[in-house]
Amino acid sequence: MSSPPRPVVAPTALAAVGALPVLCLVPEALRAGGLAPLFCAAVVTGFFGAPLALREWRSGEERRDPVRDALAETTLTTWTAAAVASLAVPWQGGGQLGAGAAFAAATALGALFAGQVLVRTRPGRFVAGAALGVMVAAASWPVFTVDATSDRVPALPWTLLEPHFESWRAWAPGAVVLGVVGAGAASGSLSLFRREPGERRAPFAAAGVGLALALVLSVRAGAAHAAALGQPASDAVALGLGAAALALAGPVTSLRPLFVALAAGWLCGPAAGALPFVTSVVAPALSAALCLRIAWTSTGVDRIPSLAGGALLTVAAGLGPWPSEPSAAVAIGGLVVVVFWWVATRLVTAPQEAT
Amino acid sequence: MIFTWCAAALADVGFESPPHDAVETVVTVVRDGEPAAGETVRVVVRPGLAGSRELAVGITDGRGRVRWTPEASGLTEVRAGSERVRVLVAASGVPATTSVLLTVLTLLTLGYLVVGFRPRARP
Repeated sequence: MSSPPRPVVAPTALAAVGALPVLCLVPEALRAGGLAPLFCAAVVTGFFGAPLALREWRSGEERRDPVRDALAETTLTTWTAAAVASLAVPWQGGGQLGAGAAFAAATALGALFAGQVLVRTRPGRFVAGAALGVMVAAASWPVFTVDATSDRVPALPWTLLEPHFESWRAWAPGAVVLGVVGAGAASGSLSLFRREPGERRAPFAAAGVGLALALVLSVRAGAAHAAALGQPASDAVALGLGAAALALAGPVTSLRPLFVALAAGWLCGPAAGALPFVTSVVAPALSAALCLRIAWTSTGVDRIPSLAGGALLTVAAGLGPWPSEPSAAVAIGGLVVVVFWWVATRLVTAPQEAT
Repeated sequence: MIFTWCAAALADVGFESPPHDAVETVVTVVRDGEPAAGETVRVVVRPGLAGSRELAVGITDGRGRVRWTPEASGLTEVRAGSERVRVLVAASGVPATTSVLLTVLTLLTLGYLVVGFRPRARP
């Protein structure tokens, strides 16, 4: 009995992509309930999200579905763009197209470069593990030295981390989305990554790394909140982690980084008012459509987990905040047109890219 | 001697000593350089966050002072009239529920990582 060669690049990439919804949803979740929503998401991930992703991971290679691939591509692109825009908004002040576009373009170039390096060198288990360790260590090390308005205040993070289960109505939809999607249901096994032998537990790897990053970022956010006496503080480490995740977000031969850059620039620039809607409604709705498509093409009891995931995500999307300003509505309308076009074009190109 | 602390240094609200969980301190309210007598002082624990609650501290005496014993640690906003000053009440330790959840989440993380990255033996 011997262990087979085990590629680690793809699981690590999946893990980083799985962290994207985490990066996107953690700051607001902390304000709504402290560690309570993260705990809820972690439990949903372990008992529902990861097993669902695992089942799709095992069966997905056997039957290729262009509609599923198109939805997966669109979902992944939307989550990535929303996460990058969420991280960029505090840095560029909101509403400034130039700064947002410059950030998004720089991130996309970094993604292309890092992706090329990773794909060409194909690092083994220890190199990938070391890279992952460095990433987490870089995020953990300056936990208590975040940017703050006062350097004389001890930055204990407990105020923001204190769990509040009683306010579940405010954070439950986001936590459910985090649990179902963050595990890899839509960003891992259902994406267009190439499956390889030895990667059958990749969704759990994605859940573990996503949760680790969520914990580190939560403590950092708590320290920043206390040190800045409740005022918003930018977090360079979170921004770096977002860029690193984007770097691993998909086939570098595709145009995804370019589209992510354009969408992120749009969402952290003129359409900044629509960002909460995209994060809480559009991206979960796309994930729900993906799950329902899988349920549609499955047979027998195989369709039950996907159907349940789709129903959960649909309810969560329905409970999300809807735009109240005309500018946000216009921005969302433009996004819907782009998404429709994107899905339609992916229906043609996805099967070729997947092979 | 009145010790004015951190963010309250330039405001009209000061503290005799840095606020600490369950330790009494004295809040001082000053208006135009003179002690503000008869000013109602309130505190908001966790301002702007879930579980936020407002508590009454008392009314300042002739020297603009009122005693305050913080009931909980963490970020707190002290309100005296129109003045609002945010301070961090030092904690005597890690809150119990927070430490429990942090431990559980850490264990869950380790479990997922072990399951996800453990090499799988070929049957």
